[in-house]
Amino acid sequence: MNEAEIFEWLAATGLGQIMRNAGWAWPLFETLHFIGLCTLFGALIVVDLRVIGFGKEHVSISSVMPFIPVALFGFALNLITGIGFFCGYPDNYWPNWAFKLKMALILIGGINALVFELLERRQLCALAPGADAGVQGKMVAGTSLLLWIGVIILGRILPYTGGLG
Amino acid sequence: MHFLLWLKDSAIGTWVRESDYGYAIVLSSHAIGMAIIVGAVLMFDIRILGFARQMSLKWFDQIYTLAWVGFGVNAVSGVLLFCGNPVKFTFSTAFQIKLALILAGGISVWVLGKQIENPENLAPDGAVRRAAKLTAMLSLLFWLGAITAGRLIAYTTSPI
Repeated sequence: MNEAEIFEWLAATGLGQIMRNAGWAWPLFETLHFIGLCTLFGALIVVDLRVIGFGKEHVSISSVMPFIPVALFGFALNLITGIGFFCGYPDNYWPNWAFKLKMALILIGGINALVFELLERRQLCALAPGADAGVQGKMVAGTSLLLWIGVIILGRILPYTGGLG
Repeated sequence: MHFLLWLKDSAIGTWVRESDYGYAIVLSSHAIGMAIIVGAVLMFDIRILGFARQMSLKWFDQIYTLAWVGFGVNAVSGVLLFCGNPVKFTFSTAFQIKLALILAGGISVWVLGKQIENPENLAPDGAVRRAAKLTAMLSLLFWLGAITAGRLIAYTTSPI
């Protein structure tokens, strides 16, 4: 299958048809996408800002870790609703530069999260309450916040950069 | 009505509507501010409702400083967006509901802050009394409702 055939198939799926034809589908998915965004970013504020060093007199890094699954939940919500948007109009999204850049930043954000999980998390959780994270851990946390701010900006402007209207 | 039309034709209103980057910058700022405010409030609410009890509520004192910055960003970007299309927003039911829900959401967070200041409402294991949990549930509903109403503005008004 080439690109055009894949897009044609995606647009013909039940999800693609619902997104285009049911009046409620697009606003519902958008609302859920915004709620997922707030859930993801809110959880990252709680975790990443603490790793960077804020609030260290009040909370240990290990005590903020339960918010990582919350971030993943928000991400999952946005992945599902995002697939819905894409299946609705694949041909409109794919050539859009803001969409492509958004996907690239999400990919880098995912790799960054893996680095956090595999290389940083154990050491960070082992720190005494009130202790500061290492430079590398702080950089991973800061990168995470910046990447997702970039994702939000690109997501908000992409309707205006690719003729989606 | 006269004032709304004057606002629409003012330099600010025209800039938001017609400049190349004005609308994109203002809209993106509004989305980031939303992520900060609603994100912080949602995490606060689920913590009150019993999630991640080991984490001290004091962390939210600092997070709320940031949330106020987010609120400032959204007050400014919101006023700018309003100036771009004052007539459309004023007469949009979804917009009116959104503002009411933000007001209710703000009050609920303020009440919740007062409730957890009272040590009687806090158990040693980090749990919180039921009255505060009820406020947290209301806060969740108000803020998620504000997002929903905000999204619906675009579907219940004509473009531009």
